Amino acid sequence: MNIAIVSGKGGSGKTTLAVNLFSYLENAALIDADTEAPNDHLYFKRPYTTSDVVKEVPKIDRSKCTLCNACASMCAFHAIVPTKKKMLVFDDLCHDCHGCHLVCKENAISYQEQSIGVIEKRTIEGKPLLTGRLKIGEQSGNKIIEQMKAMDHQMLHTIIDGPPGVSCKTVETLKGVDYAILVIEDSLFGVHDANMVVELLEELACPFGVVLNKVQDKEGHADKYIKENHLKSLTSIPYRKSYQLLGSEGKLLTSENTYQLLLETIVKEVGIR
Amino acid sequence: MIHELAVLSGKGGTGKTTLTLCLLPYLENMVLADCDVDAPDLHLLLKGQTKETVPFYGLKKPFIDKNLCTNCGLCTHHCNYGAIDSEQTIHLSSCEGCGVCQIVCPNKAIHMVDTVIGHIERKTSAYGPFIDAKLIPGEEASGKLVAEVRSQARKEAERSNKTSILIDGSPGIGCNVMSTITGIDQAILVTEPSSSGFHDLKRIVSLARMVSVEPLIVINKYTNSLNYTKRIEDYCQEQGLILALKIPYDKDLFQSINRLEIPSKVGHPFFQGKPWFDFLSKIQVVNIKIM
Repeated sequence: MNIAIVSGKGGSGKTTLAVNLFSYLENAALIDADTEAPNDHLYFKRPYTTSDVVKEVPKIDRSKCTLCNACASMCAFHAIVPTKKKMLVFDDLCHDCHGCHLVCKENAISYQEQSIGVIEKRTIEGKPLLTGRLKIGEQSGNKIIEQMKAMDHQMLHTIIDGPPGVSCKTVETLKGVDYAILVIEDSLFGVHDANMVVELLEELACPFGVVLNKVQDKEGHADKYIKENHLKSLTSIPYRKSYQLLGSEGKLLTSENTYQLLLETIVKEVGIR
Repeated sequence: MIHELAVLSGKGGTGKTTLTLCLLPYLENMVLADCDVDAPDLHLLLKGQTKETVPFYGLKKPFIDKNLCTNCGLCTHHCNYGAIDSEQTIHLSSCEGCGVCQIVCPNKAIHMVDTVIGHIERKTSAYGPFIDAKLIPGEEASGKLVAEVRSQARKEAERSNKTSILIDGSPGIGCNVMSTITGIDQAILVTEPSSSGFHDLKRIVSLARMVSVEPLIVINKYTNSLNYTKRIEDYCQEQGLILALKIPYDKDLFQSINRLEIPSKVGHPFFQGKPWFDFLSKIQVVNIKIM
């Protein structure tokens, strides 16, 4: 079963749930798809190997280029800009579409690989943890997410810890998953942003359930929202000082009996076998 | 000269929006912009009126005229994003709008059409003109929408003779954040004392320095882990970063937001103390109201 964990608002508790669920399940892999701010590995200090994720950016042969501007006008991402003497290429803006060489009549464009980030691979008690890390200055980690999801890891389940928000990187995270767990922080902002994710999940026809997190009072913002919108509630996690302390130190919560029980409920409700 | 100040964080949920809101009662002569387009929350506490809602068009997206398509498969073959399947059906959620399919189609069956990816709203607020936007969930090119919010904010500032723009940003370091941070005058980076908060702070600091923006660091909820607060303080010292403010954890602050009250406006004591005013004095690009 492939399960994505998403939230809308950042800091709702995606990572906490992802690392603990991963640790709790016997036959699962964990993918950290929050490539801009990947934190899952902080809970498992292990040696790791890395592999580069590359895109191919255009290299323009000035001896062949006639400055006809066809490539620049084709590029939807404005990664090629004409100057008086040469066509300037902004590698960071390139989306790896390979369109520019198709329109170049002089055959002046070839491609060279450029790293956009890495995939770090760790093994935690026999289970793989893949971390996607976008290079600073790069625009999009979608390709890193895609490559991590395509890796064959022989595990029965894959948990994918997603990025906050509802942009294309969340879509990339949700692509092909069987189920999504929407973590809602029990707050005004938490509920507002979760509502945008619900719109997205419904549009993608992705089955999902809700985990309410950091609940401070029983009939708070989030509880009302779930009831009014008839969302499937998986469980409700109270705000506890001990959870917050362990989490801030990068420690798992599976040592806490109360949290174990919550995980058990989630596993049962989602139907992870 | 319009000065731009942005509140950013790396890790989500560290308190960007809360800090932005708390700044408002102390700032004068500015335009407010919410650049967190896929989770815009600022408007929830700013009871103002919407003056204008404008659709924003992202990159054009392809449509295939099935009457002209011969299913030759060239578009499928050339699409680097896997957005066109073997039966030449386009999956727009995977499409990045590059237009390669249109170029390779020998039958001119593919047209690129304008797509609305979000809406920009011009609003009023008690603190000055306010611009925000909402990305249509799942859309591409959110960075372009962010850039447009900033551009509208600059226009608004010129129109209404304001001298600065305060921007609430999004988490991360990718396209939305790049669009927010490029060319601003000062950044406030909000972190929290945890292994995640510290890890992500280092990434956003690197990005800020890459684009030559010297940041002010704020540790929010610092009493939650004195261990990590110390580590972040040491890091700031090593890196020559200005640690401008430490805010203690206070449940009341959190609850005040949930009651739709701006903590610094409703007399929360922290915002009347010396650390807060010292912090305000470090913000160079805005006019501080003497209260």
